[in-house]
Amino acid sequence: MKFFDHHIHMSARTTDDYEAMANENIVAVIEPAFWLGQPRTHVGTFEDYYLSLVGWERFRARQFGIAHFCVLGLNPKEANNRPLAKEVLELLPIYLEKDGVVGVGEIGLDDHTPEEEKAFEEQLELAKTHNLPVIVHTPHRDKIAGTRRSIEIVKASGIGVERVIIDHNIEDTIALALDAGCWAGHTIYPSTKMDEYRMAKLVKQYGSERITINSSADWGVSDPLKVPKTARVMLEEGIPEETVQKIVWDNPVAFFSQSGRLDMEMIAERPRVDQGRLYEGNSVLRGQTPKIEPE
Amino acid sequence: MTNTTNEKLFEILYDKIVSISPGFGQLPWLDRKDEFSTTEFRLEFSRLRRKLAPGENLQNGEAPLNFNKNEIHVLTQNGLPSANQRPLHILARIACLLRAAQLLGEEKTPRFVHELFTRGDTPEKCAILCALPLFSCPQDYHDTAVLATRGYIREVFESIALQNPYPAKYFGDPVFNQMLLKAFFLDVPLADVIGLDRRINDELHRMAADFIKERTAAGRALPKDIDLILHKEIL
Repeated sequence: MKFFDHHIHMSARTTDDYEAMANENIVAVIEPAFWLGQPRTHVGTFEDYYLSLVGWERFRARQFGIAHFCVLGLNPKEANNRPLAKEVLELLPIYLEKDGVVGVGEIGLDDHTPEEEKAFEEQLELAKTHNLPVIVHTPHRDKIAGTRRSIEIVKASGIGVERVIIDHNIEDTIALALDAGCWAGHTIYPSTKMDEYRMAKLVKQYGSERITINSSADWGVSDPLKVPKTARVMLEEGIPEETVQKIVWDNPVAFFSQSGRLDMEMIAERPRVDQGRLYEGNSVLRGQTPKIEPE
Repeated sequence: MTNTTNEKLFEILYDKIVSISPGFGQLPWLDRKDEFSTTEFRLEFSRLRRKLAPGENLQNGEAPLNFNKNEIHVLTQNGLPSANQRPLHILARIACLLRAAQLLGEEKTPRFVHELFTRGDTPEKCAILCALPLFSCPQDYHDTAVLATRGYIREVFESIALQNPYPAKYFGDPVFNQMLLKAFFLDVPLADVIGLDRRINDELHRMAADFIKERTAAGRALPKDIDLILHKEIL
């Protein structure tokens, strides 16, 4: 079975993770831009971050046979610094046009402030202008109300609801996302958000239509193998393989191909592993023999 | 490079690109100066590959253009060798850069190109580096070219170091030597460094000899073509 983790912050992960993910047949990933654990203070650090997502991280993933795409945006936490947010939003169009950028995200609400709502609305406009789908982050605190409000903002923006994935759903929010016509993403975390068994239950109840799972693995306690692990639990729980494959592969591919920058053919085969390549002065290897697969 | 040459190169590239990708001819500023804006150019430059290769197979844009012998001669003579080995998306971006340079003028273009380079993804960077020798006053792009040698992403490094007349013509010895040493580390073919034979110098001999000692001590293989820059007595 092939896996597509459509929400994972690989910049925060190690090469061991890439290797383990490739061994589990994770063939493609999407890295949404988010925050770094503390607020940034300059627009230039955002720009270098975006450059790393379209440059270094894409290269690093390819060295392990994983196709790397990204979605770019201003996360809600940092949207609260309005002067900085304005600068970042002015910068974004340059990077939203790059090949391999398959969406706007992750955007949405965190503290539910007017500043967050404004940046959310402005980025939905950017998504419309650049014809990109959107990953909406739903808040950890006051999640149900935040999800409701996020959906209201999405609807008011005029973007097609089918071009929006409401992410980090739980039992109390999945129906809100699906009933609105959006896609419903689920983050499987080691201890919070959602676990494998709860997810299997949800799939039994809601099926696989417009439903996806991801690991959202980052620099916190998280697990980059949660997508294959959850697939295994789903199969053990008697969910048909076809349904599982749809959730872990077909659905994210279908959703993000709405960008026009990703199609099934591009990721039909995992990228040829070529660790002999170097990037900007740095090999990910430190004296090991490069693993190079025959062409 | 005079403006006339620049115009001629542009025409050769433009005619060939439009013949296989008619959408290219629809970029408004290609024939209407008043439509040109640097802001719009930046976006067009990034999305160009998708515009050239619309439809289901987004991997397109890799097609060669098959220039004839005469066209290859003109392109090579004026700083763009190996045009038949370069994909459509690179050549199309080179054509766009030549047009932008004509519209912006000698004074503004170097800064704009440098900004495009620093903000570019890998294929964008490669196209810019191939275009550097084609601009009027190529020496004004020295900082951009040097920056490219300081990276190690293979495609970017190769775009400045190999099949590109820029380094041999415009780099001083320290930058040229470091570029060659880096070429060893990346194991790129030195034989493709244009003008290498004219730029061999004593410092380079020493660096190569030291490199051999280092590699031998570590029990690692030597680059195949290191003899191209060694003193005959070391061989």
